[in-house]
Amino acid sequence: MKLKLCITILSIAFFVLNSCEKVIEFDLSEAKEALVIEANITNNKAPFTVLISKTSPYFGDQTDNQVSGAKVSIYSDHGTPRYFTEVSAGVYKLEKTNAVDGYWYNIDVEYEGVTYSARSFMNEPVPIVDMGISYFDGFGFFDSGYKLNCYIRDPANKENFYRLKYYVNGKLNDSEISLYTDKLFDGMVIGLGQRSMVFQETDTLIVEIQSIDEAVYDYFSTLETISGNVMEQTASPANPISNFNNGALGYFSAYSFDRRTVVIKDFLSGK
Amino acid sequence: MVWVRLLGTFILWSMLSGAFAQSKYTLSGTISDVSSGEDLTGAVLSVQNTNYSTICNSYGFYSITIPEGDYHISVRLIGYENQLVPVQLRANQLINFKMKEISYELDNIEVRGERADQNITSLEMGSVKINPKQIESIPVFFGERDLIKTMQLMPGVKQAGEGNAGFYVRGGGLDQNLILLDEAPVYNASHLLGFFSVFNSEAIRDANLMKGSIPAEYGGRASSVLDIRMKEGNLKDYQTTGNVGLISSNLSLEGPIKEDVSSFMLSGRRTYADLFLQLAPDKDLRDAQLYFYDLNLKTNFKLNETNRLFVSGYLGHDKFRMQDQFGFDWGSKTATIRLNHTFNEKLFSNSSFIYSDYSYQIDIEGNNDVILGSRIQDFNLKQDFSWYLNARNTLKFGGNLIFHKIVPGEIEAAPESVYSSLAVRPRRAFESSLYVSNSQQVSKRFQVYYGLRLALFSNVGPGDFHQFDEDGNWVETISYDYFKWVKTQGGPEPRLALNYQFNTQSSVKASYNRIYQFIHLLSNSTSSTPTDVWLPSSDYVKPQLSDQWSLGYFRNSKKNLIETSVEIYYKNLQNQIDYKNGADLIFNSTVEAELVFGRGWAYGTEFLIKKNYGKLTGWLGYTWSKTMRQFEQINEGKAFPARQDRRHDVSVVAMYDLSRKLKISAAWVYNTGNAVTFPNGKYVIDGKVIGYYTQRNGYRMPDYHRLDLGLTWIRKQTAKFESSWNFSVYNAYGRENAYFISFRQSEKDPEQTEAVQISLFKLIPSVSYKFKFK
Repeated sequence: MKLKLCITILSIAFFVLNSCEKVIEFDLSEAKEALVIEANITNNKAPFTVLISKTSPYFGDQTDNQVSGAKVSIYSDHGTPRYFTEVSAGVYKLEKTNAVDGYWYNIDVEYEGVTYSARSFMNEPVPIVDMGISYFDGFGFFDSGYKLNCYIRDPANKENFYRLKYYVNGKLNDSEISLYTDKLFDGMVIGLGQRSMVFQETDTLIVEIQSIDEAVYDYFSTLETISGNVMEQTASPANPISNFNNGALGYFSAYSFDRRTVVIKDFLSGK
Repeated sequence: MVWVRLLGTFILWSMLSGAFAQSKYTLSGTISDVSSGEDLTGAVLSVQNTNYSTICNSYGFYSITIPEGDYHISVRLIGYENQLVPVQLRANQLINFKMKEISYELDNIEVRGERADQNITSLEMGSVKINPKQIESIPVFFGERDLIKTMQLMPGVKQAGEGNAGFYVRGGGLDQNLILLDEAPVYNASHLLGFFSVFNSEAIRDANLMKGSIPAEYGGRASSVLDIRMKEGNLKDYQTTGNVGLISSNLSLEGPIKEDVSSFMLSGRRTYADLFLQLAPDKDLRDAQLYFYDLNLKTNFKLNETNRLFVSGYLGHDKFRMQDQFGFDWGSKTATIRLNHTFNEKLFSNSSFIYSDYSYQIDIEGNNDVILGSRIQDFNLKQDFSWYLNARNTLKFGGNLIFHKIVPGEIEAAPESVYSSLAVRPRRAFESSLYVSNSQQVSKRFQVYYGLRLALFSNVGPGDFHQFDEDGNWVETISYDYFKWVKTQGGPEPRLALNYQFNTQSSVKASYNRIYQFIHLLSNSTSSTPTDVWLPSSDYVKPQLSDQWSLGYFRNSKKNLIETSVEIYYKNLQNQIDYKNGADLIFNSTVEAELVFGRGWAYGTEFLIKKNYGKLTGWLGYTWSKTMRQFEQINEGKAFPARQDRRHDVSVVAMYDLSRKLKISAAWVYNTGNAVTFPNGKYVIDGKVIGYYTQRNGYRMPDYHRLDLGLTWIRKQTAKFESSWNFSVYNAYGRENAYFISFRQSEKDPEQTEAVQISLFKLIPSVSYKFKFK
């Protein structure tokens, strides 16, 4: 949100000359391991993917924590369960399946005798209807470059939640989590832009707009408060609000999406 | 209601105890400064060779009733020469005392006669009094003398963060301090993200922080009262005072409008923090505007012998602007009109009308023109009476009625903007109170204060009132029309204080008080931000309630040269507020749904040794304390330390007069770390490393310590002109104290995670120049 941005800039302006930063040693105690599930299904032909791992000590090596041998199944409210196959350690896939928008989906992950379940509603896809580009001069710590505005027509009289993902030259840009609600814009044509992310003239972008449900929006917005800029972080960080039960971390998102490819240079030359 | 009955009995008893005495007369009047004519607060008037004494009130009025006879009346006040006046009391008598300020001459500085032993004899405990004159040579931060920063060096008062003007008192929250400037509540007492307080010390006469034993005339905030009074203006001579500092300057004018009848004081201050930005590497930052200013004005008129009128105001504003991109403005306004009336030698009245206002506004320009803002306004009528019933009893009673109007959030968008306009409907409420109290000298050695305040809070229309279920889910919204009363809550607040004097040099005191707090500050960020939103109590948000018990031992030695005290306290807090994970506090019309409610408690002990006179002055304070919170929905329902919880706090402040012209000073602070939440593990989501949190505030920040040094060099001191230089060094040994610690993926090796400490203000030298024309 713009407001957060203002405060950030104001903070930075004051701290810029007066702060110093150094890496320190800090002893953190070890917590009991928790299961982490990242489950995504879409309205597209892409395989359903579930990643399962465990938490590890904060300063330890982060590899080798994938969880093998879990039983993962999915079913729509009135459907029969279909089972995932583990294609590599901790990676579970279900191919040749299609989810349809307008339905609730349920996922069960069974591991060491405990079943972790979550539900997610697949909203209708909301396509990008128009795009615009503008040059941003940058200030302070904010880089200069091109900003992309994606316009969508928000479905009226219902709450909608969106997440945008940008793949720049084939690589996901994860510097910020782009989330939007139609709280102030129900039924309008909404322009969705970037907070601090900028693109360069030579970039080729794939923009993906995900139509997500409220629980997934809550998950990512609470995730953002512990993973974003330090100055924006909350005073009392806590784990993001998961839609899984039994203390599992992570989320289950059933989303529909639209994708556009943009070459900044072509866009500028009017192609 | 037992309290009401008990109080009634006490009052009756106190009235009777005076009724059968021998013929007594009342001595009353005002106590003021001889050179400026300004009223003085806190002077102690005592009758020699008897046990009778009184303290003048905050308007300089005193009244004492004693048996017929011949006496010597002594009047004492810190920083002023003692007065001894013979009185033949045969009838009620009016005497106005004029006190002369001590001029510090080196050769006889040690002989100041008897110093007031008020800390032993008064009923006050847990009180910190600061007079700007006393702290003139203390080391300062960025060249700005700041009352609140000095207060933070006293036991029981904790600074909210490096260089921050916010403070926690005895385990209370930042919003639990009632900060009054000439009776007007100040909702946001800081400038520039909290690094400066809004109180320009050139405009301040005195400040009194009450940590415990809060008298019945105060209420509305759960933990403390900071009562600040502005200077009234010299009634005899004109005076111009100025300070030129590195990042701010101020100029004050005062003098008579009509000699001995009316006077004014006007003081202004502005920072040029923008100049710092000039050093920034980025052009856009160099072009930004970032400053604050404030103005204080006070005038007073003696209408006649019995009536005096005061008008005072404060205006403070912060401004931040980035070219044409956006602006961010915030500030407070207060105004007080008050009338002091003396009915007779025993009954004194103060009537006030008070206005208070805090707002912020953000405007974003360009193709998305939009203005966002929020505001709180108070209209307050207040009536206080002091009734000097007889030699043993001083009654105070009165009441006030505050109308609060809170605009939680407003968005005003231009038609072509992608934003749409939104207004969260204003919330309106009346906060009312009635109080009565009595200070009673029960015996030669035993004094007691008992009081009762009835505090009520009523939500009124027009407005939307939201209903929530027990889990905080919104159920329905009911719109109320004008003058519709929605919900009233509150209750009685008993206040009690006892003082038993073992002898003239030592006493033991105890106190209890209960206070309701009806409006709550919503803020969940690491740094203090101007985007404060205040939330009134309602059906769903119950008033905060605090009960505090304290006990203290006070002892002076060497003819009151050295004051020592030990106090212990226990504070219980009910209906405390915290936030759900990811709470959205801004522009949310049903913000109540984002809150969780719980309880808190705090206890601790405070030691203070203070030397007020001589070449060397200063104090040594130590606090041991513990502050806990418990919420069903947080930390699995287990109690956890509050953010401001820290075990040990030490402060040492010393000021030494090398010569008449040269004064040096030092302040050293040490505290163990605040409670903080850090991750206990990590995992990966979307390819990014995320911290795994298992306990709230389960870790401690590293220990904090810092030394500040100051030097004041008085260049000129004549009857017409004075000037001095102050040199200060903040954090003189350059300690890198942790401002915050963040945990993140290493930039060099994303496979690794690291802890990064960010420190602010490593060795900040400053210089300021002060002048005064008389």
